Amino acid sequence: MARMLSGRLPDPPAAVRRGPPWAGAFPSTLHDQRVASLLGIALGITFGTCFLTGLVSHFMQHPPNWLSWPSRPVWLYRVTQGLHVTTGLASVPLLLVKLWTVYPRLWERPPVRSVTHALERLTLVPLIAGSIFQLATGIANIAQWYRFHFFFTVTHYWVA
Amino acid sequence: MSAAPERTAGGREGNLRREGDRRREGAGGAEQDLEDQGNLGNGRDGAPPTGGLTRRGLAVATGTAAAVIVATTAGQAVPALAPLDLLAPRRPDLGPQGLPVNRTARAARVAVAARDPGYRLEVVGTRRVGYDLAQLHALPSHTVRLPITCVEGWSADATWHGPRLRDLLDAALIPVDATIRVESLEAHGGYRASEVRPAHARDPLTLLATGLNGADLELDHGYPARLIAPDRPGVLQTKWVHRVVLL
Repeated sequence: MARMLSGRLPDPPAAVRRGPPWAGAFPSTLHDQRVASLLGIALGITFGTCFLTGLVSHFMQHPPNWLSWPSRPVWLYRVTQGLHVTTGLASVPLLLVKLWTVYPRLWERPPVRSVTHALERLTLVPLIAGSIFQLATGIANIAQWYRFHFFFTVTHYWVA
Repeated sequence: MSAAPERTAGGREGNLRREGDRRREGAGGAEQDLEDQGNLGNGRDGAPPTGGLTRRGLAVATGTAAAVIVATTAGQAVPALAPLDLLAPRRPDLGPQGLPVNRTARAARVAVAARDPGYRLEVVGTRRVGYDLAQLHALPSHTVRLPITCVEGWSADATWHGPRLRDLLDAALIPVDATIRVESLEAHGGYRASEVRPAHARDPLTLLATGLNGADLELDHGYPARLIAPDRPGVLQTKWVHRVVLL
């Protein structure tokens, strides 16, 4: 089983092979794993805080029966929701720079090396798409710009 | 030797260079050696061979962007940062009676019903108690200082005046452990009513406010009466209240 998952898949035929657009297409040394991981830590903190405070807000508005929110401290929701919106906004430049740092990997060759590698790459699709979606719709919501035809809070929660 | 240029052009690891790989492959190809020499003078923060941002430069630029965004938007919730509040959609001190309004009476289509002199507040428990405007204003009034926090991120402190919700519930013989629903004059909309559980319904700070910052509540803030409770999202602080019912 393990061998099947990590066994090397055959390379695609040479005629369809596509690497980076040209040799040396990404000369910047900032396409670098150390830069990416530092940005990852920063994003982990802002996105993590944003996610947890988002859950607080969701369950405050839709409390299950077993959960009763306290009425004190009176400023609790003010702090959690302020953090939610602020960390979400701070995530925007961090996410953009992080995606720029790692985007040469899109042209990785061969595109899939093994089944696990394929799964690894596929799971990034919903992760990246979801992150961009959450930040974009969140910003539209705080600006009260409801151009999308779905109910914001429900979609925002389920995508999270 | 022949495989080396392909690797540097984005082979096994794409173009995402690993320190370890570079060391391992260091002796492998001429291109790799050249690149390493280009970085030598600048140590770990080595400039790219083409010139451009260093790692530190990127960190400073990204960090500054994030910090500027935080500093210029946090003012919608943090009073001390309000003067810097340039990018946020709200200034927490702008609006009628010094407080922002998210949903106006006009948007909620209650402008006529809320101004009706025949308005009555009904509290329905084991007993049904009704109050006209004069009776509502004759109830013992309390003053509380509570923030209103919108789910969209802004928040502001305000001083609210009006009867305590729990006194109204007691008058209608609503039990202390009951959940109630507060209903707005709004005919439609997902937030036209909100449920209040005992912790908030019985809190002495929870009011059915009829006044704000020393004056009568303005129409857009929920005249004739609105709910204001501690630690509760703004969309659930129901405005233009006309009924309170036991669930």
